[in-house]
Amino acid sequence: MKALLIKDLSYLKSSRILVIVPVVGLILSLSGGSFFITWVCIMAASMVQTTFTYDEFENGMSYLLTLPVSRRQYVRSKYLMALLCVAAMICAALALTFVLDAVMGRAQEDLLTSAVAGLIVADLYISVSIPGIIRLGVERGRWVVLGVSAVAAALIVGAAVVAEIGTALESALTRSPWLAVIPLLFLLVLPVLSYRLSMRFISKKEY
Amino acid sequence: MLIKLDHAAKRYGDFALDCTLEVREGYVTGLVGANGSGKTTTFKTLLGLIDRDGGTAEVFGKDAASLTPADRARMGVMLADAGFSGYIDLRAVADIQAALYQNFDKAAFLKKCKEYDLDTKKQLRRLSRGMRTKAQLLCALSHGADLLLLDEPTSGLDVVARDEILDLLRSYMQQEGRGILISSHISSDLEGLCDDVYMIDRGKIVLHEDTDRLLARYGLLKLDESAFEALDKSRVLRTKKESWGVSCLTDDRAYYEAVPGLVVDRAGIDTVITMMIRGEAKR
Repeated sequence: MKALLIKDLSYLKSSRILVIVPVVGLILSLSGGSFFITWVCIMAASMVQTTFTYDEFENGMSYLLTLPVSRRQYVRSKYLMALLCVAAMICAALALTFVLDAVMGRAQEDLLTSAVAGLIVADLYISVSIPGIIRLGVERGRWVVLGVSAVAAALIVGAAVVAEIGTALESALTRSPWLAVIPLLFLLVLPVLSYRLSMRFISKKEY
Repeated sequence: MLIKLDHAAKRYGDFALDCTLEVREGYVTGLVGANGSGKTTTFKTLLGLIDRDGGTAEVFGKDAASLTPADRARMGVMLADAGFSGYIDLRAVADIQAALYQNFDKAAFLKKCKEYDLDTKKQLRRLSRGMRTKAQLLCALSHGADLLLLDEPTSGLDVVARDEILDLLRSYMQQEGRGILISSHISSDLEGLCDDVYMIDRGKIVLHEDTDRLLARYGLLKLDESAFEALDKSRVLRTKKESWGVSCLTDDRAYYEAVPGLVVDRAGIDTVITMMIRGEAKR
């Protein structure tokens, strides 16, 4: 599995995404932390899709599965890669936002809410895109990802009005704290279902 | 036995593979056939990349569909037009190989790349086809595999590059217990390298022969119609109508050479393929 992670990191290193994301991210971060954090989560999640694209170049999947890695390990490596990308980038984004807030004397925003919203979007994106791409390939899998993006966009728009629904949510959470378990369950159950689905798809797929 | 296929079957629409072949230790076995004859499907069956519809396929005595990563580490594979993405360079490939194989020596691999004039800092897609093929072969050879599966490794290469690749394969076979299954369109490559050859046509093996025996004993008779009618056809495998008469493939050239007045040419792999695929069984 280590080899698969090295491969994916090598692919990402060679792609423009590692140039574009920091540059655009820096510009976005200057105008505030909330949207920036959510955006970073989505970008991190989309990096896994990029690695699938590279895997498919040159009939790469046929070749990869002749190497001493199992199909199970291949799927695991993709989820692990997604987790690493999201974790590393959200930490970097939070650190950058804190620094910019301090340097620019900006009022601190509710970054936790943005981070949670971003994580939910990333979670949804990864959970749908990985099995979608494994089952349909990158090209057709993009349609699945587009669907996910539409949902993500709706969530971002929703996040924009979070200030209005925030108060209602806060009072609901105060009345019934167990409601906080719902997003947590969503975050945990969805990737598990997605992983099982991916395993099922890859075990039946011919290359 | 390194590889054993017994009526391994796969069906794609009109195409049906029904392949029986073996690769023994110490042998370089060739698989020849026209485009679409089933060579790549045979390789994919052996590698567990596709599901069989029937028959058996064994590698190292195990079902090809249940090969473990440890089994795969004993194999070096080169598939036609398949490999790592062209956006990484050979240094990155070396890092990946080092994490994949216990027996991989990164320094030796990079040294070997240098010996073969491969620029390790250049993205793979920037290398010429010959260079890239050499790089793929070095990867397959880099970890001391017991078995090489090479699908069209010399396709599209010039004579010099092909010779270099064949030399690499000959060196590889100097160690006992190893074996190679290689497919190629280029019969001269196979004649100079393979111990035995399988010919595949429309998914079926139509001939299996030791290369030396094939080159020593197979012949092509060229006859006019009357000579053909009078011919003892007991040792004729295939016949083919030509504009000038009939050509016949035999696996006993010496027998016909002893017949006065008969023109018998030596039959190379190309001739045998053409006759086995295009010719008719005895008339």
